[in-house]
Amino acid sequence: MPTTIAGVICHEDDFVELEKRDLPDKDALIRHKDSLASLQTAFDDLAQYLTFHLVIRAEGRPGLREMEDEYRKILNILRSSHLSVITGHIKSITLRAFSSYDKSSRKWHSVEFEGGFLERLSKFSTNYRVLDADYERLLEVAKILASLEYQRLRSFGEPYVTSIIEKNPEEFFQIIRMRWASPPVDEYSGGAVGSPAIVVRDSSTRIRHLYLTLLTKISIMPIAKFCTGSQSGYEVLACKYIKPKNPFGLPLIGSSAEQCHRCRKLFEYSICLYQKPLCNGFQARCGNREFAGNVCCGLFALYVTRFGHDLKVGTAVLSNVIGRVFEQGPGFAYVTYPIEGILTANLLEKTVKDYLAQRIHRYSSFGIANAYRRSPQTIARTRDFLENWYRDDGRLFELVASDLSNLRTSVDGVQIDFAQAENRICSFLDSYVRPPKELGNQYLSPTHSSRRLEGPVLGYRGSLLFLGSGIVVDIKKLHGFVVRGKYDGAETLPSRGVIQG
Amino acid sequence: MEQKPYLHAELFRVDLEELRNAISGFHAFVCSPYFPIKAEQLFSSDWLKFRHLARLLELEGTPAIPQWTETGIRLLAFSKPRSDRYYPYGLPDEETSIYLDVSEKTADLNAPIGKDYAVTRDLLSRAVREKVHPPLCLDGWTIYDSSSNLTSLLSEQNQRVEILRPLQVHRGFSYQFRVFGDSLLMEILPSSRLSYEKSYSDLISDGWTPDKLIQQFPYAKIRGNGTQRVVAITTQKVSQAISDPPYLGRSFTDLVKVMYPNYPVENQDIHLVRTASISRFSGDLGYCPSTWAYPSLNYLSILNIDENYFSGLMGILRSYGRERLTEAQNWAARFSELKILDRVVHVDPVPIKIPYEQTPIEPVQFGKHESIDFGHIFAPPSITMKRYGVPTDIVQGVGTYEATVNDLLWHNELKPLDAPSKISVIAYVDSSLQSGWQVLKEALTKESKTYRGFEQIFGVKLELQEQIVSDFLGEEFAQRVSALPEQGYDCAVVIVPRHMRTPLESKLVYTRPKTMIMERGIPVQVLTNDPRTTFSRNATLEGKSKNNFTLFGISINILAKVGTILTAISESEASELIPDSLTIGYDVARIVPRDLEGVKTVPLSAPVVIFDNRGAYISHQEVYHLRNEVALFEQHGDKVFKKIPSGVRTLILHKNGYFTREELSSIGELSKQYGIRTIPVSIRSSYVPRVVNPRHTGSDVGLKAGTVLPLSTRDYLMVTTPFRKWDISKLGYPNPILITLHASLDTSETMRVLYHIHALTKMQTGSQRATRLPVSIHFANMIARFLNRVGDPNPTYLRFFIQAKAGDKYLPRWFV
Repeated sequence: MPTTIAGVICHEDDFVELEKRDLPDKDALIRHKDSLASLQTAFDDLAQYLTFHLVIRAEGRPGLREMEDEYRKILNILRSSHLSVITGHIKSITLRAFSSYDKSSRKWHSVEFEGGFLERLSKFSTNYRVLDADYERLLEVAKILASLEYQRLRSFGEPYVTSIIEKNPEEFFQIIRMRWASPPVDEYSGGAVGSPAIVVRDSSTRIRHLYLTLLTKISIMPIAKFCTGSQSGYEVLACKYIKPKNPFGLPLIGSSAEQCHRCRKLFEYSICLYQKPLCNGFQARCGNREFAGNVCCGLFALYVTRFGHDLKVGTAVLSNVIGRVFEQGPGFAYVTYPIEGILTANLLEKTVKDYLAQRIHRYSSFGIANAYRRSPQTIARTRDFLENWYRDDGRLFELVASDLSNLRTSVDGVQIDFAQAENRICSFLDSYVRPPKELGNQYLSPTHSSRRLEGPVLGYRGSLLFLGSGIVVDIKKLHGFVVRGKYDGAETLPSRGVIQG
Repeated sequence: MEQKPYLHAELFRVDLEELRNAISGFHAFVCSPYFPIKAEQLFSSDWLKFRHLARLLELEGTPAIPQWTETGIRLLAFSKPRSDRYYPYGLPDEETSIYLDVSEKTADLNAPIGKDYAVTRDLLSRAVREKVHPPLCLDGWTIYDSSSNLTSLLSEQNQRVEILRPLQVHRGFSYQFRVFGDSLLMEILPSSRLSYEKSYSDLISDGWTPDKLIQQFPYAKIRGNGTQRVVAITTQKVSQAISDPPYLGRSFTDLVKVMYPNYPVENQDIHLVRTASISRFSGDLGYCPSTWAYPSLNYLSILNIDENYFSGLMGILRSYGRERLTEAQNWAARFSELKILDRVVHVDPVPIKIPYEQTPIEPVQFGKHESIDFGHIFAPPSITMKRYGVPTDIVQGVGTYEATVNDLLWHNELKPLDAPSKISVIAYVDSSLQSGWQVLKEALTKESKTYRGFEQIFGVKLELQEQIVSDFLGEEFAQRVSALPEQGYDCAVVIVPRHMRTPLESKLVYTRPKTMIMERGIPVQVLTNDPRTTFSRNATLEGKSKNNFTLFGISINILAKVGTILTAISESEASELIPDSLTIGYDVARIVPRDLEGVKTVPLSAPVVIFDNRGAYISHQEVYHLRNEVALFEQHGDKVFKKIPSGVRTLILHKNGYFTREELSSIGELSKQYGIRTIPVSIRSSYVPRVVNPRHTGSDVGLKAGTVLPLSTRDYLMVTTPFRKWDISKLGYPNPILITLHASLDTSETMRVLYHIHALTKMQTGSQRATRLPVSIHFANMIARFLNRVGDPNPTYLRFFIQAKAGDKYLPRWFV
């Protein structure tokens, strides 16, 4: 078996938030009976804090020199993948120490990295640490990721994955995303918007929208994450690596990327969407004015939603903000708009989160204890949904709106006066379908994305599907996954349609 | 006192004192021309013949301009004309020659923004043009930097789009001089100038056939003659004689020698392009060499050619969005010193500030204001719908109501204000779309867990018949339609593919079946199926069937076509508007006839009369043939006024564009004759200065729909559109409208008339969205746009839509 080496990178504010979250212990996860599933579930919840992650494989057990090379490779990829298009720097680096096994003493012991390597490391950031037994959160996340991919390789390696698809491609399809209709924010405050759709790519590379209806039967077995290809206007392009028998292209096992390097080249700057940009878009530092104008300089909206005891602050493209909030499944949201430019939106998101966090006591009577930019783990969200499906948060968000109307701030040279911004409180409850109460407890058992997901759809909310088998499927965690399954080929499934494998 | 916030407008103050001094010593010769009948016949209006005479004087080196006076038009020459006889279009015919009497007495110019404004504007424009040196270029009222080409920033993929390779996009600005009250302002609007670097002649050499060329590029920029519609690429050469006026047996080369001496035609073998003027200000030659004609593209035509290219170009333009005001200021700085007769007149490079009150104002407060010294934000209007069966004012924010037509979708207790109990609809379905249509039909009509269905939502029973059509452009379908009983259905729905085999077919499948069915007195709603499904978009019929907002949109489109009154401005707010008033909105379009013979273009006007001030009931939507663009009230005023019911004391006239003196004069006479007070309101949507909130540096942020800003006691900028995706070819370009009131109104009345315009932007009942223009004009525009697209100057089907059919009270809105 090869050695798996993981690298993760996150922005400082995400790191601060990550430190406040409960973090599973890697060693404990490995000891679980179904350790692959446990690691996957844990990582799925942690991935949202990461700006980028990747895993590389080294054949056999690498020596010190090989390990140094692999670390350097990872650092280069992390930096070039995400920081080259913006002006930024790596604040600190934490590495796990290299351990060597002494056959005579039958003990593991740390081996110091060589001076040359450390000198090169300092060029990435002068603030670096090499930890052995010490606990460090981000390092722990990287360890979970490395262990996850190691376990996955043990279960089914990449050649195996592609070989089973190539045997019978028509048995597979790729889940691209969950999509909700998104009415314009200035014309929506509540009411059902229609059925959500699972957007999939079939084995003939066509994009299909599978609309969910009650009792639609799902029976799918997630295999592995693959490149989603790319989209250019109305043209959807399959992954550049597709072959006649593998219509899904390049496997991205262990990567947070949704596209392979070749597909990403078509939209190499789209990476700006997933990071904290220091270019405000109008500067078009990436040199791609087409992209900067269409994405970074666009209009955005900021929303505040509630999950359990947390207020969650987020931003989305203005034209899609309602759909974006729907994807997460909250009951209510406060939405304010327009915000011009991705940088302003991003910085404002943090400002608002801090502003609300400072006043968190004002919301305690509503059961609110925290303000975050990320959602809680799926299990916590599911619990909140099931226990408080119809909770009316209207008054909570009236208070939030009232507080925010006093917020005046300057972001990237732009004065933002919330009192003058458009805002509204939206309810999303009418669009969700609640599953039967009697299955509630079953849905609170952890579900992971590597087991067969089977059963009729009895309810849905956000990206969660509640199946009659007691399984909750989070479609968001399956983005890019190729699944073994069949459906009837129609873009609209009948009310008792079938998505099965 | 707390200082009010303000908005910047792209207007720059001209130093009036300097201007007055500059022109004070200036004298102009008053010229009185005599046009014999044969010369008169060459022109469609007095203004055009004076403009032509001015051009003839310019050709001999005598600057001249026509000027309106209280007694009519006169010609002012800035030096003494060299002759007393001029030959229109260089026609060597004494019977057409114009006699010019030049007064020895010169006209003193002492009112630069009053009676002499035409002269000062001309002098200022000449001063601007004198400052244009390479790489700056001038194209009409646009100055652009030819050294910058934004298409070079497009991605490689977009740069490879063959048909758009010759396209260049230059940054520049368009300018105007405008008088608002006692201020003279230079309007500087940063804009991009599109130019296509290959002429029609070049494209023919590249292998394009004339038919394909016209189909792809129906409009051309003609050297020295603005943009015109290309009617034909003829086999006639520039050296061959043309019988049409103004050639009258001469060749194009002959005419150009006298009228365009600076544009020689080198090659006598060049083919002529036949063109039709689409504006009364465009050239009137009717022909030009194919080397003079260059495809005229706008953003919409680029979108139709290649969506990705369009998207890329929009992105590039958008990335300069924040620089817009700075750009305007920079241009203003470059043109801040204008020289008139050796004297410098300064233009302040700082844009004007317009203070405004941020707290929205309700109609009931209008009476409390003594003057409108600063801007206001009008509160969104409330509307009336039936609530639990009773007409009720629906106020935004009360309950969970939005006070838009969308409330019908979300609230079961609400129903349209006035709707028939049932409607009869026939659906013509393309045979390839049967299964998709069945899904959509079911979703539209049947109640489900996620959508309440047509009857439940609107309280209107939908009787739907359907027929399958294998070829919408074929004879069999035409026969089927001709057998339809006249007005036998309330509406027809045509379900077709979004894209046919060719762009022409795609266009025809929209217009031909639609007009055929309308000939039977049935309004038509077209639905398309677009199979281009992406990660985030599904515009197939199946996809549409899953989106409640889309289903609702289709439904209200059908209902609007039928004439249903979904909503009206609320009774309580209407009572605050001008009492006993009626509103007419109209627009003038130049239709290029489909089968052009003899007539180049036909000016048509489509007035839409909206009874009462609630913006709901349309009573009249006739289309009038006009002698020229400004002749509606002179020619057809009696007919329009006779339709006004008794009891109406005030007529508000909304015009898309600026009311001319001739029109105001005709309206004034009609007002006296019929004893009805008139309030003419010019509403301009083109070349309107943008407003920018300085606290935000973006061009479209910090503005609210309903913001009205005074420029003088009669001129106002109004922001009507809220924030949309930034796409200048579609609704939502945050560009205000410019309103001029041509009546003596007190402050309260002014506020009421302005508020009414704002409220009418929310009355587009065929759509869920507010419109940029009030529906009075928006509807007239839609009529004009459809007629233009069809190219039918005599739409006989309109007879069905001028009044409701027998036994019915709903007037179909066939145009929405």
